[in-house]
Amino acid sequence: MLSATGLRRSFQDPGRGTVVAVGGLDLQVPAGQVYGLLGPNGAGKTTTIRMLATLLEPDSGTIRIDGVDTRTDPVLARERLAYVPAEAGLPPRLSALEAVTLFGRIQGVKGAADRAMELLTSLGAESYVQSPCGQLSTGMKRRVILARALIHDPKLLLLDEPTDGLDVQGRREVLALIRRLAEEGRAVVLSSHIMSEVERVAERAGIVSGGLKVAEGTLEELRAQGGGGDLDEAFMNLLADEAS
Amino acid sequence: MTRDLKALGWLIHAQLLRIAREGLVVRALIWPGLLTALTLVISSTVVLAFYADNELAMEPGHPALVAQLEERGLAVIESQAPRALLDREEVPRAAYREGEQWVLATTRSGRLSLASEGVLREEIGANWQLKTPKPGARQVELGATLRVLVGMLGVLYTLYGVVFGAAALSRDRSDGSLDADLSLPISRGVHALARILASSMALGAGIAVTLGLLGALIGVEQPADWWSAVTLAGATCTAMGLAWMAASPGESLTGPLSRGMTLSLAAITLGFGAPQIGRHLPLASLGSMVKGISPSPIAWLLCGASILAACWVFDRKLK
Repeated sequence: MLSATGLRRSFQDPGRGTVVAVGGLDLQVPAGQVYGLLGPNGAGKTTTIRMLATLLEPDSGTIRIDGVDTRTDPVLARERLAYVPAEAGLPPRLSALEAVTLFGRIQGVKGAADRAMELLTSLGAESYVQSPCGQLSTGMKRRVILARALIHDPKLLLLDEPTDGLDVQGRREVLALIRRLAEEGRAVVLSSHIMSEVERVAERAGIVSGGLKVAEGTLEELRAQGGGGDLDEAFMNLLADEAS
Repeated sequence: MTRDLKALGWLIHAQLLRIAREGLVVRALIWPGLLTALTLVISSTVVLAFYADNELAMEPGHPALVAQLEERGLAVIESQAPRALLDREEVPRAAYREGEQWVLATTRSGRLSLASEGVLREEIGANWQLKTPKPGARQVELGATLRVLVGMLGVLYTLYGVVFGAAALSRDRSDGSLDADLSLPISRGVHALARILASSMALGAGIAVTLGLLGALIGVEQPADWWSAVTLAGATCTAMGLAWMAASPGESLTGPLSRGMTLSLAAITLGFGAPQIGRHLPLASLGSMVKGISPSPIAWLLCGASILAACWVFDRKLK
């Protein structure tokens, strides 16, 4: 479903000169799999996800989504993906149903209002579909944002820190939703710096640091590479090895 | 192409819905015009209470003429030197004899002056003449004042244009909606075009209502031309604000706003100073309108070009 090879992206920083945010990353995520992109803040996770979402053009490397090259046909690639940024805004004066429906109509989804209602209901948001988005709690907004992302039935979901700002209950619910979406056959890339939530949903994960992939594999493999223990400990050991 | 056009329609709809729900059209666009018009009406009422506008000075001894004039709503002041009263700006009109001929001298246009003229024609026949002395310094020429006033409202709309273009993009960028929008399968140019067209529609509707209110309360000459000039300026400024903000992500709103204000005032000054040139330029045509000269079709073309340029910048330079 998602195949990225040799992704590189650097920025010009007035204080630091050229900063390599992502330095040659490969990523393969088949349909039905949740892939966790792990790393500390500033590791290059968001830059990677924004490149996958065609919002940033890589300096080099190729990205194929369901066989479509994002460089040659970004619009067609976007038809197959949905991107949920860490800070995903909703228009505060529009109702949840209006916000999701409009996103569908813009993309030419037939019966967008019915599909929006169906999605919001399936995500457990039916009780506040008519409420203005500005009055919803963070957890409620996350559901609406997910419904909005799913309106065109994407094959690939790119989620940047999807549980950011959620309480324990909200986090559990969103993670369960992500698991369900993968079980429906979607490929999901989930970036996070919280090991426990990746452990809960992902089959495979990659650990990035300083724009480079430090380790990759199933969660078992990562634990083994990090010297055993839980994923938190493995993560810290792998980062320490990389630093030394 | 068809898909992009459909998307454009829905994107404009979404933007307009947002602007309308946020109350921007009424709060930011129509309210200032309404307040200005109301202020002017109140000021005019107060001024008229102290300086009656219906007076006409006339030599004594013409009771039939006085009766006719008073019947038409004029307040006749009998004086041995009616013209002197007019010259001292104590009355706006004077009727007096010059030899065998009657003269009506007036510094005002409008219904009452026409009524005075009508009475003189009826009562005296052909043996009279109309004089229109130059208005004195104390006498306000309302047409010019109104043009300046509507021009100032236009400047306000140019700033709204910059705010609609730059601030909306800045807000959407910081709250994450821009990334979500741009990940839709639509080219970036279409997103930019939708933003500019929706803002221009809101600005156009706002100035139309404002001009309507001003027209109903105090009267505005050339309302359609004013609408064109202000809408052109607003649309151009929206395009500029959007392009500035797209090309410089780290910039706060102050930069585009101050640049917009400087450019608007410079262009309006150019239009005011050289109205025959200014009428061909989208922003400068506001200045030309203050001189009563309408925007030309070239101004519309240049406005369209500035919108296309902003779409190009948004497509290629957005960071």
